Amino acid sequence: MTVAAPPRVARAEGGLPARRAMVRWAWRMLRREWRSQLLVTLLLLVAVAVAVCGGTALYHAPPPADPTLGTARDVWVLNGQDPPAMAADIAALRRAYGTVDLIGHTPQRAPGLARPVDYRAQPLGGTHTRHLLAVHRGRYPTGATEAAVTTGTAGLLGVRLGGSIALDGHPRRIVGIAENPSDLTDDFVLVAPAGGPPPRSMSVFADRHGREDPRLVTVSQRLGQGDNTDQVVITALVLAATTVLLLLVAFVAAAGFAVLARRRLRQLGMLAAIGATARQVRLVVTATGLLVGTVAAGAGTTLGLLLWPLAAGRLEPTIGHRIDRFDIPWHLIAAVVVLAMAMAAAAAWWPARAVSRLPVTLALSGRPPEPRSTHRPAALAVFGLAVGLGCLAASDRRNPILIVVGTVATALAILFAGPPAIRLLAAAGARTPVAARLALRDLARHPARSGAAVAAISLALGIPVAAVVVATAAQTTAATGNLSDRQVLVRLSQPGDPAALVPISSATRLRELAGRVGEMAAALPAPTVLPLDMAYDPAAPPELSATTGQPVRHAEELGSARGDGEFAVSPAYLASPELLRLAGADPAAIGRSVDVVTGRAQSLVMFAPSRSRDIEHPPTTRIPGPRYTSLPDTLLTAGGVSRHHLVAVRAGWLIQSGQQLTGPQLATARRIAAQAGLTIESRDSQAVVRTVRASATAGGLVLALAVLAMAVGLIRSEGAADLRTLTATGADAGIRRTLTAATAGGLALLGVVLGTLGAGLGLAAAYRNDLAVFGHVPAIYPLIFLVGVPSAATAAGWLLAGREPATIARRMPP
Amino acid sequence: MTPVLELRAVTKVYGSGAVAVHALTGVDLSVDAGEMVAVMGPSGSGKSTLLTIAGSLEQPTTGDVLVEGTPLAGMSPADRARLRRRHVGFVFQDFNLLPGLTATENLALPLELDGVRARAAAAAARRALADLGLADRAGAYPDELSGGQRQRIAIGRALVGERRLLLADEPSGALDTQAGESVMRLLRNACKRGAAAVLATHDAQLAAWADRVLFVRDGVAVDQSRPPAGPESLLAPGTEPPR
Repeated sequence: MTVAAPPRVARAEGGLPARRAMVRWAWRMLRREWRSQLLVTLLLLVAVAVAVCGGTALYHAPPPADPTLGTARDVWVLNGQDPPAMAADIAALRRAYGTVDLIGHTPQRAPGLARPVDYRAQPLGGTHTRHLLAVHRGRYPTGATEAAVTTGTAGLLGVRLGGSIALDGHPRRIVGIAENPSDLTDDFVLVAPAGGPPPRSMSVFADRHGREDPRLVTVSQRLGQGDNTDQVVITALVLAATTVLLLLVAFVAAAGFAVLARRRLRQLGMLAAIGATARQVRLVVTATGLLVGTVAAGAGTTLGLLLWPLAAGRLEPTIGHRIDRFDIPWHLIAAVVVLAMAMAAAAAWWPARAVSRLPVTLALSGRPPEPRSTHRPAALAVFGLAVGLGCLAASDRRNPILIVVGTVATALAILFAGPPAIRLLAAAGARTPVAARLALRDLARHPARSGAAVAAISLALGIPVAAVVVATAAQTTAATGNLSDRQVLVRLSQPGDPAALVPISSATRLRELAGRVGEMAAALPAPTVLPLDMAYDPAAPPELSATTGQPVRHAEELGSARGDGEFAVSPAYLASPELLRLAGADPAAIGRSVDVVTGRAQSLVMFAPSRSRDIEHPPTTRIPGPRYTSLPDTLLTAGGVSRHHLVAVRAGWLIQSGQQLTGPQLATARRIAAQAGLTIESRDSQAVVRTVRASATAGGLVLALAVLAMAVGLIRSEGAADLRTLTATGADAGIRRTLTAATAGGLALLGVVLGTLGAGLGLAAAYRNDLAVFGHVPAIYPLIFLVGVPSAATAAGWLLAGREPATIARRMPP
Repeated sequence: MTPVLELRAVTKVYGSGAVAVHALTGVDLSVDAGEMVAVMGPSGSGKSTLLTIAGSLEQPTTGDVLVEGTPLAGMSPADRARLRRRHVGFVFQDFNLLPGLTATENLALPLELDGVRARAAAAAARRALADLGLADRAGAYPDELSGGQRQRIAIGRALVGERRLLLADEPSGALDTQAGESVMRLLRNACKRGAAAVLATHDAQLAAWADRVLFVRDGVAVDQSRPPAGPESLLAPGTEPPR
């Protein structure tokens, strides 16, 4: 029997028909043996679901529009004291820029509240303000006798839907519950534009497109925003986090595909025997990976999208703005799907390469290849570690490129250290009882799968170890943070306003406030109170606070160029000798010609509303700067104030205690400040840092143990034949349990040692000038990692193993 | 006429130094078209090694192998794979068909690997199945076929296309007598149609089907002769080896 060959394509590799045949076979085998790929598929599926759901959540973390500016690029706050002039300015803006949206503000004092309540006259919709108003219960108010309130305002004033409100003296029925969807903490009373009180200020929303303003007479503030790059940054962050997550999964998947390739060794040998090239053999295994990735990515995306509405509901109160459930970032999800498929294919590529390089006769016999020498990976590990530590040490924790290169090189070093470490462990276990010895030797005999598993566990543990140390460093370094634990910063500016917007206060009011600050200080041991003054240009008219509508002075600010055309602006305080010493400067060393003393490295620009031009590069003296970020770091000298014809204004006080502030002392200070209408700031709570540390540890442990469970499952299922032989020779359940426990414990021990060592060495290089950080890590964390993980893995392996092998040694028919 | 297969002083050594194993030593063999040669010898004598070297799955330590006059020495792995796709067919004892592929797809696989479009390859495979008397099993998967059917399909796959060299390693070792004879008849028929076959076996009854027997012991070809007459008497009544 000979059948003549039909026409073939003239290519050595068989072209598309050959590739299609290989992919078809891979798909058929996946369908037949889907159970053996279930673990890897589930792991990938969960990773994709988490990435899709978490990525979509993170994508919505910033509000869709600026909570104050909406989608407008420019907002003018007009003073409503002279309504005809304001109307003329609005008309001028409309003529100049076309479509404008208007929101009127009228602050009204409410009994028992330190801050006035904003009566807001705002229409629904609007070109620029559609994201700033929604009525989610009841309806939009019409006429002069209706209003809507936010949930927060209703709670503060004790009113409800159907009730009445009359803060401005005119009773209005509450017909709706409104909100600012871009800022759920924004509290106000909504009135119809035609039916509200005369606005004290009017916000005009428009897009200036870089053109000059028309001549305006009532403008008190002009706000602007550039292009919003938050989503781009978040997309990059999500993809980076997804890559790390999928990388971990890919290592487990690589172990799974190594097992798969091992199971199909004879079939792949047969394929080569009938004429498949190495590339075609490789394609079969890689296609399996791609198909697994495609199935997992599809199912994971579906699961993630199904979970998204549930997650969004829980997310809104935390992030403080509404989320459009149907606003799905498809580009981000597409990238996650492609990444998952690529990772799965890449995970399969390495075993595919290994199996395609096997001699055909060896593959046909079904024997695994001899383990390769571990000298090369050991040398690569040493090289990677040297490069990584060098880069991290040179980065000084500031240079992002060196940090990234150093971290990647150190992570690669951990991966390469896996095979030699496994070999060492097997050698160390040579004298252990037979079950443990067999388990450890098995790990060394199959470095493809055990090496991948150790790599995944090492990374899964290395990341939380690094997070714990970094969080500890952030928590315990006394010289970092916003303020020391003995300081309280008291400001006159209102919450939500920039620090440079100083309310205009009479001398009597200032004396009264100073008295309240004195009350705060009196409750502290050995207190000192440092007045903080700013300076303003008396030629500039007062402005209105965008949050309270009260008249304010816009104090002098200094900007430093950020590189994107915008400026990072900070308020300038007047340089008293005490403040200079606090900022690390010697008052006597400041020359008379100096205008500015700053701890900033960049060139500064002085902004002044009444001057025709900003002053670039004012005479400046550089100083080390204060230890804490909220302390004044840019100071105007008395000479500078005089030369620029500025006027000093009291902006706040710095209270310093002789001892660490206690909770009750801070509570007292907050109560006094609330009564007086002051704003206070104390050292940030470290609860966030503690939460980060605990979460990283818990997350890392769960991830590492899950990875470990899957890796052990894969390895032991492959060793089922050995188990059957052992049982046949009289091994009891204890031996079988020891076998699995030793596999789990060995992998966990190697993962912990390599992960901790890699992360520890990397951090030691990064913190080489501050190694005391390591001494502050609570002892429970090293104990959890170094003792807890291997112990838990060993115990779980012992408890969950021991079944009769007949149920686990079943193989697919050849 | 150029022999389909020619082995010239082929030696194969595994390992080196004190642990070196001489699997084959100076083996010469020439197989013409239409000829079936049986290679006999005890386990470990080098029969399978001879077949894998003849089929380019392994390379000899020394000596030359020529398939249809083309020397294998110096061929790249891709060229050797192409040679196997176009000129050489393998039949093994118990592991021949790929699970997950139907009988037709298994038969069509070498053609598809060689670039023949799936439809044309399947048509050729169906013709081959009809020749094998297995047309009704075209859509069956390997685990739905009997051992004899699997081996017949394996032989069909080894010959599909224009391949003229068939290498069979204990092709009926896992079959009962009747199925084994059916397989041997198929091989014999293939040779009648111009294929050359080399059959490794340690069963004298099977070797009786061959035109010539090469005896191998410890890697050395000790004798080449006509098959012994004796085994013919062991055949089922009324059956004669087709010469």
